[in-house]
Amino acid sequence: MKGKTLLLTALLLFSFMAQSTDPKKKKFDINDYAWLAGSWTGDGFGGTSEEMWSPPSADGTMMGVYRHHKGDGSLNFYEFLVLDKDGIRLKHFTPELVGWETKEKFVTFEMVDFTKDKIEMKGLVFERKSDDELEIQLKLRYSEDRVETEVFKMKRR
Amino acid sequence: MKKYIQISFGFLLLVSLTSTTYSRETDPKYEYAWLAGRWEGEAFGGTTETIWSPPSEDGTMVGLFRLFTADGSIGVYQFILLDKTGMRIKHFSSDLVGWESKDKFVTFEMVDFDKNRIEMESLVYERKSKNEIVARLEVSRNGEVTTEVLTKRRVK
Repeated sequence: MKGKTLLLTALLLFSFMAQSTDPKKKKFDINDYAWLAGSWTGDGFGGTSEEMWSPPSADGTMMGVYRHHKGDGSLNFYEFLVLDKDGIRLKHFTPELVGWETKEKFVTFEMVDFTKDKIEMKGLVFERKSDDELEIQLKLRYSEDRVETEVFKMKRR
Repeated sequence: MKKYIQISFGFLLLVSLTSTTYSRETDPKYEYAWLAGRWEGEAFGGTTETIWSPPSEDGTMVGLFRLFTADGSIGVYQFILLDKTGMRIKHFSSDLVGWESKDKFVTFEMVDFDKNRIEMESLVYERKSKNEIVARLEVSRNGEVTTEVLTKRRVK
C-alpha cells in the first residue's frame, strides 16, 4: 500500500515536471510581446525591410505589416501578419496588391516555444536583442536538401 | 549680364543647399504623409485601430486597419496602400479570408491632397489637429447614399 502511494507520488511529480517543460502547456500571454509593437527597419534579401506591429489586443492577437524594398529602393512585396498563441499567419502581396495566395489561403508558422524575449516558430524565430533591436531568422527551403537561414537585423525606428 | 546670371545661379544653388535636409515625410509631393503613425477611433458600433507607415521611396504608404466589434472580437481587417493616386483596400475576416479575390481590391481615387486633407472619391480625411482626424465615408446601400463619420485620434 505504501509502495502504491509512493508510485502515485512519483507519477504525479513526473507529470508536473513534464508539464513545466512542455511548451504546449506553457501559458502564452500576448501582452508579453508588447515590445514587438511599433516600427522597425532593417536589412534582408539584399534590400531593406520595414515592419510595423500593433500593440497586443484583448482578443490575444497582434497585427503586423512587413514590406521589402529591393536594393534600388523599389518595392518588392508586402506581408500582412497576425500573431497569436498558435504562431504567425501571414499573407503576401505584390506591390500592385495582388495576393500570392488565393483569398482563403495563408502561410502558417506554428508556435514551437516562447519566452518573454523570443518567439520560436517552425521556420521563423523572432528574438528581442535589446529594447531597440529585433532579430528575425527565417528558414528558406530551396530544395529537398538545401535549407538556408535569412537573418534580418531590425532596429526600432 | 552674364556675370549677374552666374552670380544669381550660384546664389540659388547655395540657397537650395542650405535649405533644410530633404525629408520624404515633408516633401510636398507626399503631403499625405501626415497620416503615418497609429490611430484609434470609433466606427460601425465598435472601435478601430489603424497603423500607417511613412512613405516609401516612390511615395507609397502601407496601412493596416482592424475593427473590434462591441464584444471585443475582430470584425474585419483591412490592408491598405496609399499613394498620390488614392487608396487601395483589401478586406479580410478575422480568420484571414479575403472578401475580395486575390487580384481584386476596393479603390478610392484621389481628388486632391494637402497637409491637412486627403480628398478621395467617397472618402475624405481631414486633419482637425495634429492628433485628430475626421474621416467621411460615403456608403451606398440600395441606391441610397449615407455618410459615415469616423473620428480618429493619434496614439502611441
